[in-house]
Amino acid sequence: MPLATMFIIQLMHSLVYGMLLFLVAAGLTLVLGMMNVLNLAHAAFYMLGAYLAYAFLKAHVSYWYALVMAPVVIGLLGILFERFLLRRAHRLGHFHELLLTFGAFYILIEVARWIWGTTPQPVAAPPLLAGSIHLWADQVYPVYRLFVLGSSVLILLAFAYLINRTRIGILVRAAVADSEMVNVLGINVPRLILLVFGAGSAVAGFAGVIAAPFLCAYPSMGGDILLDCFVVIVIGGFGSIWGALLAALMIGLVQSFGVLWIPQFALVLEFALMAVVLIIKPSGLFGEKE
Amino acid sequence: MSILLVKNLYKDFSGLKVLNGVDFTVEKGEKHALIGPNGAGKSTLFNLITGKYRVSRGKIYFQGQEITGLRPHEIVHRGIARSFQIINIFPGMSVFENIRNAIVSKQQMRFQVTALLGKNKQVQRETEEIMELMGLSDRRHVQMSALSYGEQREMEIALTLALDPELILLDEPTAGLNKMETERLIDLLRRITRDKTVVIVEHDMNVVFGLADRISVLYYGRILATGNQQEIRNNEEVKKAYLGMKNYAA
Amino acid sequence: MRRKVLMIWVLSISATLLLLLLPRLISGSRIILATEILYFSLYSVSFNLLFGYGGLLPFGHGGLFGMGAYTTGILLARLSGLPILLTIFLSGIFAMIVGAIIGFFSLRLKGAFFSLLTFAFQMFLFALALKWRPVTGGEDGISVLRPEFHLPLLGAISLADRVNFYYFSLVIVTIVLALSYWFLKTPFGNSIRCIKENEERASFLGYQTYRSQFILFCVASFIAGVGGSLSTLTAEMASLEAINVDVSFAAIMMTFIGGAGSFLGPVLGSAFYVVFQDWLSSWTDRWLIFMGALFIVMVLYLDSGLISLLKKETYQRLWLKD
Repeated sequence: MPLATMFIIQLMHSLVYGMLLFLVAAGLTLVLGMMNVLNLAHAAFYMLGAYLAYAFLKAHVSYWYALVMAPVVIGLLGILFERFLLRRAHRLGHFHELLLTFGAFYILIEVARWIWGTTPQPVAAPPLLAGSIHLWADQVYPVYRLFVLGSSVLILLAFAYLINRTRIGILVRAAVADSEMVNVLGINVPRLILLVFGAGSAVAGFAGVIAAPFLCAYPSMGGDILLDCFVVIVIGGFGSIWGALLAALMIGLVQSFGVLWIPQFALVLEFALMAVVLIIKPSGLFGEKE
Repeated sequence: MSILLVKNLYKDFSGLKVLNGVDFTVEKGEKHALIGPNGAGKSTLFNLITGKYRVSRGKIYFQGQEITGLRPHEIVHRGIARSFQIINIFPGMSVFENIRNAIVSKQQMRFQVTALLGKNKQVQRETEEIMELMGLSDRRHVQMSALSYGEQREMEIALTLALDPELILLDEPTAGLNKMETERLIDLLRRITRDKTVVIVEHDMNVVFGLADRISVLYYGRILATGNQQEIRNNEEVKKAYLGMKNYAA
Repeated sequence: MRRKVLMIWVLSISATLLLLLLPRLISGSRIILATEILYFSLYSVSFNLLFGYGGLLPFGHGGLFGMGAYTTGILLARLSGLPILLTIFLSGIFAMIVGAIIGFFSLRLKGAFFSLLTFAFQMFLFALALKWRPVTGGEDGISVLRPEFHLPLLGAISLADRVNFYYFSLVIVTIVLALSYWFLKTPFGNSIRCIKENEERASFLGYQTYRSQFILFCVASFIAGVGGSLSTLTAEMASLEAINVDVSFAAIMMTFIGGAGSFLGPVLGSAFYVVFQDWLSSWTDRWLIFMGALFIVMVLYLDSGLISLLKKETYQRLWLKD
């Protein structure tokens, strides 16, 4: 395979993973900006999405059904989590929130290990999306990955529209900037938080469902995506969506090309990248100083 | 040589220009008051001098050495200490422990691991001295949350003074105090800072005229005038800027 | 006041007696559990130095425990003549060096970012342990035998005997805990507390947050490494179980359930953890889920830990205010 073609294929892989990562990281950053808490359970919701897809398929339910239902289930789970657990922890102190989300993250992974075991479970892509399409000459590319890329971009565009052009979106943006003020203005901030949390969790679940066919469902996928999200937020800069996009695409590149060079330690490259950014610009590429 | 020299200082908060070329000097041993309307930049000036914020442009010299851009703890080590406008003490600790924190730092013992703190007689003694000076000795084991607002204010200042700094910066030390508490604090300050250099930000003109040798007027990012009490009272520009300020006429 | 002091004496003496006579009171296999409680106590107290006293919450503390564990495993497997005390000490030192690197980067970040970066470092160490088969044994780990303990006048004591090893661990753990307690009462210990109480004010009093926390991190790493070393000696094996996520979460659970606001809280938490695990795992494989659920309940409803139930009256002077 000529070098240029291989390069382009890897580039496409990195784009696919980068957008998927951005999908998950965006929900995390939004909640972080709005509630000032890094919800680690978010990564577990992603994992749950993948496992739900597996479970649905095992119960002979179609993949498309899973694609719609799993995010709904997980969105509800997220809402319950916020309403009954996180909210209480929030009142108790800033460590309590972090401990709670870490505890929830951990327990959900244990539950997944319990129900579905530790070996990765394969999830079949629906027949419509299986197979490859011709790009040029005799070069093919898996249709499914294009689907992942496409749906990630679609979801993100939908959210961008919601955030920038609707009333709800304005409220959310205001709450991210200054939630106290928004509260004073008479907006029901707790309900807004529930909404954002539910939507974010649903998106994480959705990301898990679409990731499952090409990544498989395995217990530590929560930890893997969490670390990548973390690198995204640190490199991209706290609170910056554009920074997160850029960082996610960079990580996508590192993952794809790194896996070629040093199969076991793509993580090292991510680290090195993060260390460099931290030393040069501690607040991230797009972050705010002071 | 002035003990503190602020030269052409600018501070810009992402578009909001708070300080626009401040030139400001403080002589050793003097009591210098910094007055001006709210939002004029007085606290910001303190924050720049003490290293909390980074300078946008300009330089700051202390005892002839440049301190622009140094971090807060480095500036403390040089001999400048500040108090805060909003009470900023150690909430979970007692009066004694709070002041002791300052003493430990003053004695350069922050990293000492070779002996127990409780057994150090000198630290004990110096903490007692400060508490006596501030009249807080009988409250020594009381937690911060149990102190009255006035006492907390005194603690805030006690922490600053306990460092025994060359230059003391007090940011609205009488904020929120009633008339009696204010007078008590002024009296205390006059006694304790007799041979020290003090810069005090204040709104209460009685405090200013009771303590200050020199007064500088900071008006929306620039020093409008500097001088002794008479000069400031008679300054036309200052009068124009302060139209409507009741205490000023007194 | 008198009653308090009396109660402290009574509790201390009975605790000491209990610890010394334990091998006579419980069966042979159970003494291993007691030894586990000992090294976990070191581990969780080291965690609490960072969390309860320093205000730092690392999610990757297990990595340092694991470093100590594997160092001991590697040293015992390759340098069989090395005195056991030196092995333990070197394990602590190596864990401290790794901790210094982790702390150097992680302490530049605040809050959850600090927590996650330590977690990321641990994942890297885990991957290293998993994949570097020639050195770490990969998934199989390293099997070792407890060496003899040579005392200057009394000759060699065989530590293969569980009871002997229990007493050996007891002495080491007691000494290290005592040193830690003393460490917290020095001016430096006060600096750490001070920075935790109000970091801004502390810096305006001349305290150096980064430097102080870095030193604390190194000390905590050393102690965690010693804990890990003892774990390898206890299990006679260094394996991935000493360096995975479970270990990190265990530190958080033990400390929090026991009580992060006091010095001995984590010790109580370790005892609870080991006993509870032993009991639960006779029923179910997934005891961690129950432990985790209990942890969450405590985070939300009893955040001062179990120790606040037992010792509210007698140990009030030792309390840190939250």
